[in-house]
Amino acid sequence: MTTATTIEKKPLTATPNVERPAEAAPARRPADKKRVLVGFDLGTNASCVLAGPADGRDIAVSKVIPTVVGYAREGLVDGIIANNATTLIGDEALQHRLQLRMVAPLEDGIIAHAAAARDFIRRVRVVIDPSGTAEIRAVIGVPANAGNTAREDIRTGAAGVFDRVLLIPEPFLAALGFRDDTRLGQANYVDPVTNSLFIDIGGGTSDLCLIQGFFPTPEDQVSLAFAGDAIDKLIEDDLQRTYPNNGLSRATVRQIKEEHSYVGPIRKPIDVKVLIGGKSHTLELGEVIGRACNQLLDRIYPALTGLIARAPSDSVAQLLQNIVITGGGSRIRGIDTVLQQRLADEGYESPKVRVAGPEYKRFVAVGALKAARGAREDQWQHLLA
Amino acid sequence: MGWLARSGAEGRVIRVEFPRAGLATGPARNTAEPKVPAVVDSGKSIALNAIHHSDRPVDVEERRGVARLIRRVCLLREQGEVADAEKLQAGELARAIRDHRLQHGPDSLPESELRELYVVEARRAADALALAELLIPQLTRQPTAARTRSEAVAIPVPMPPAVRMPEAGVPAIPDLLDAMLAAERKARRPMPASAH
Repeated sequence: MTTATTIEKKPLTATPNVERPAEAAPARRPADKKRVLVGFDLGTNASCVLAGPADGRDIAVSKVIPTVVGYAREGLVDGIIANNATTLIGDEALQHRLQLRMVAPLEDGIIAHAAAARDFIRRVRVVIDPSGTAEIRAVIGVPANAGNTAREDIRTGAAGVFDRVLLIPEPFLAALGFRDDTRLGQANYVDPVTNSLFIDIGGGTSDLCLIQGFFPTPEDQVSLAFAGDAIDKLIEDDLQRTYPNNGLSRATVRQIKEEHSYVGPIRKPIDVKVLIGGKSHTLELGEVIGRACNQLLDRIYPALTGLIARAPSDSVAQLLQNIVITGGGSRIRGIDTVLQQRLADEGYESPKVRVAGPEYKRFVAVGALKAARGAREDQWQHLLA
Repeated sequence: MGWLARSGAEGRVIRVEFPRAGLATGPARNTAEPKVPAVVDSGKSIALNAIHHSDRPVDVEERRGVARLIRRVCLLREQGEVADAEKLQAGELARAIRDHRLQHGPDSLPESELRELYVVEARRAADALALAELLIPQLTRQPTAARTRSEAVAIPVPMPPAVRMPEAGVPAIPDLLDAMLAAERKARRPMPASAH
């Protein structure tokens, strides 16, 4: 289990959630500081952070952290939370959810609660650099076509926490992370950065990106505000209609989806055991889950074909061999084969759609760390605290 | 309306736009068949000297005139003055091309040559603006710098190194980041209200 926690004592009189930065670094000249590079996939539901020194390929920190912040509720008995911490993030926060006011900093891939986002990023920094003395430079993934406001919100959240940042679209970073550097130059290897189409299905957004050897323009990227969370909501609403007041939490619905999600023809029966009103019930959810997941496919498909149409005609044959699905949505059963079949049915020449594999949670952060290591000094952006 | 191209000197992605009147038209990339074959390919160099088809002084001068108009169009686009750029393109530039072809035959100033001119001038306009962005703060700081010389020395304006072309087939990360940052800078420029 990966957990990131910062222990903070409750202030005696101050409002619990108004806190000073957890890590007050002693004043040091920049030249004295150890430099740590970070690849940071700030996701709606889960974030991945990789960190390592600027030189070499070592990775000192590798964590997937649920993107959630928990603030201690008023009147909590001393000792319920270790060291009377007032703010927890990630798994530690989830473990104490009854004692905490839980806040998800991001919605639909962008920051929705600025203070919580800042608290989250601040504690991620502690994970990376417990001493608080290093110079931290982070490449942070942002949804494809994230607007200036969304980008500025991330910069604001990172100001005073990271020393320098670069914000790069997530699907592009996914391609960079997916690239097998050891095979570059081999005749039978198609570099995904040279010619590929990435579909990154996260919690808040589904991002599609045409990558053809140069940095994708806004027209090469599509961001749909329909992804894992939207599927959860559809399933939840459907269950609520059929079984009013069922009391199933969004987390339970998400768990059901993650276990049984699929696309394509409706599969029946999918029997799911749930607790409603303290009693065990078995619900048949084949149609509910299938309907919700197929909506995702119906939205992604036109965006996919739209991007294929943008590719130069002499690159399309190879591009069709290199369509990669990553992110949590890549775990939906059949998403690769159904998408591939739909393309073939519409006459696309021998399309090949594949899922990124079990490491899907890390590709954006891996790409971000590669970008951090490749960035020139003048390309880093300073943050004003 | 236009193509995406990479300038040979710097590996930057440039959108090549065409005048509405009298020139090749077609949507970006292959969403429709272009009327003339594309001469630019992503990642490949483009000949920068496009004015080479005739040695006659009058012809050369007229071509230079066309090139100057194209440069003005590209500069207006770079500055976000899209409406003015289109007006110039559809008016003065289209007329200059028409007159040139009427005088020198329909095959003079072929579409491919015009496209090359657009690539060259778009790059020049982008470079000029980038240079201006760097120099203007320095120039406006000059009077202060004269008084407090040591302070001025302490705050150098970093000049980005020349953009390198990626090695064959393997795009280099700094080049990709350069393109990203250039696009971000462009996006931050205010667009005129009449732009569409």
